[in-house]
Amino acid sequence: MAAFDEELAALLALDALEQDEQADAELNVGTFPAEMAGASAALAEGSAAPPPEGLRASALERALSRRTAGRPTDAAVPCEPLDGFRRTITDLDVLLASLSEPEWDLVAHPEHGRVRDLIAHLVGVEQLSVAWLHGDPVTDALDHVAATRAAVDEFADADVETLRATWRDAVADVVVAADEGDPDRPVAMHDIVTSVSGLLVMRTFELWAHSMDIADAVGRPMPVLDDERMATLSGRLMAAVPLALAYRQRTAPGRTARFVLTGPAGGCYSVPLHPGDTAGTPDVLVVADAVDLCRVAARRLDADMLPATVEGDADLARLVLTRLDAFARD
Amino acid sequence: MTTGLDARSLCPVTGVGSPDAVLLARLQAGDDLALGAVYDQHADLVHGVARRVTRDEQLARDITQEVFTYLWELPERVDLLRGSLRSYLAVVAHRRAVDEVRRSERRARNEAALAVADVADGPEPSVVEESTRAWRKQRLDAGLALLPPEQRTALELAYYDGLTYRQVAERLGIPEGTAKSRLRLAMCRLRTELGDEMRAAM
Repeated sequence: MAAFDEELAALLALDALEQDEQADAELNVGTFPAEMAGASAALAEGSAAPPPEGLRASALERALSRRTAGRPTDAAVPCEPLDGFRRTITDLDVLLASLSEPEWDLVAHPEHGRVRDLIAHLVGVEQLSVAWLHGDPVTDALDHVAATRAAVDEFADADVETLRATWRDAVADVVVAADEGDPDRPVAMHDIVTSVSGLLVMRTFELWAHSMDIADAVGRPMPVLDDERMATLSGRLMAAVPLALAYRQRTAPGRTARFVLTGPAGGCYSVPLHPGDTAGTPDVLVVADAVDLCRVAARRLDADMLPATVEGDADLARLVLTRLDAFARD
Repeated sequence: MTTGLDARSLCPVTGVGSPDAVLLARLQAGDDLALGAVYDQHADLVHGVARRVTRDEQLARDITQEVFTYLWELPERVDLLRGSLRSYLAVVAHRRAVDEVRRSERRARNEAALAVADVADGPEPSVVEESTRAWRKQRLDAGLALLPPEQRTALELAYYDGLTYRQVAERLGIPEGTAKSRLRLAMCRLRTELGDEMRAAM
């Protein structure tokens, strides 16, 4: 650093410049000159002393009056589940339209098989979804993979454009069925009772998960949902944590996990670990990216590979994280 | 969705990211418990420097509230590549204190009253907090003691009294260029003498 800049940095770090010189100096060496900031902060240490007793409460109260807790600084507004589902259909259809004929025959999923088999599976799921939404009786549908085997067989050799059009028609029927009536009305899906909105969120997770499967198989960039959709998915996921644990028969009565999800789709959630409980003082804190956590829930990222910071009961964190994918049926 | 303000951090952090980076990520996500944790770790510095420079307890309280509100509203302003969260807060607190002093000219200097207030106002610090604070102060005192007296005086007038280099020159009866030079040399020496250990701790 040149002597002139060093002098500017020193005077800036000491706040010793005249008012009319401040702006020019900041242009030259920045508002926070790293070279000298450490020394000026060290000078501050000479004044450090316990703050007055009541100041903590008033300082936090004032801060929280200016920005509400629980939401990120750049928070995305969650979209309606039906809107999120529609957007994800469009994304998947665009991906499918970009595939070459040979790419439809690449293996995309360990259970379903090729890309074409995966879309045939989705045709079957869309048909089941319409039945669930209409409350029609559905037999032998507990196993999500086996329940669509007939559709996979039916379309095994179909022309890809025909298959794609069939899926588009089938999923359009789901949208129509979901758009009828109260979005909060109960729906039985496999052995899960949820609402129409809940079904649409699970289906959005599924379409996103299979989009990732296809992108991975054909070497395309991983599909990224927009922040509004991710906010919907992460918020619903947090609300479903007690039910996911109950579904896996491993709840933790009386205990609470606090999730701090980073990114525009994130936020802070104190979650009871048993259905019907009220959140209490957190036993564990998990800090993770909202998108990564949703990928765990979609079973497209192993919980053990999740980049996360855990404070508190790490065993409890593991119990929760490894069961977030309870509703991912593949 | 959030819990009470008085909750403290649960236990030491394990996982990815430095403690400062994790705290900042939590602040950005809207975690009020993280704000409480940052206050607990750094309010001694923020309030201390604000009171030292302003010599006014009420102003120091206002500045402390402003600094933590500013951090809560704009946590993305903190660049950890340029220094720690603690040193960022020190810089912000000092700048606000100096601004306040220069704007209001309310500088009722009463060191004796402050010394009494130190005892009467502050809560009992923990042994760890107290020993960390003492260690930092000891290192600073050692660094300052190595400065030539004329540099040390200029530095203290600028930093602790909130004087501009021009005011330092007037106070000491020296040319402005000399005042600038003394401040630069003092800061460079201090930076060197404090070494990596203390800078890392900050």
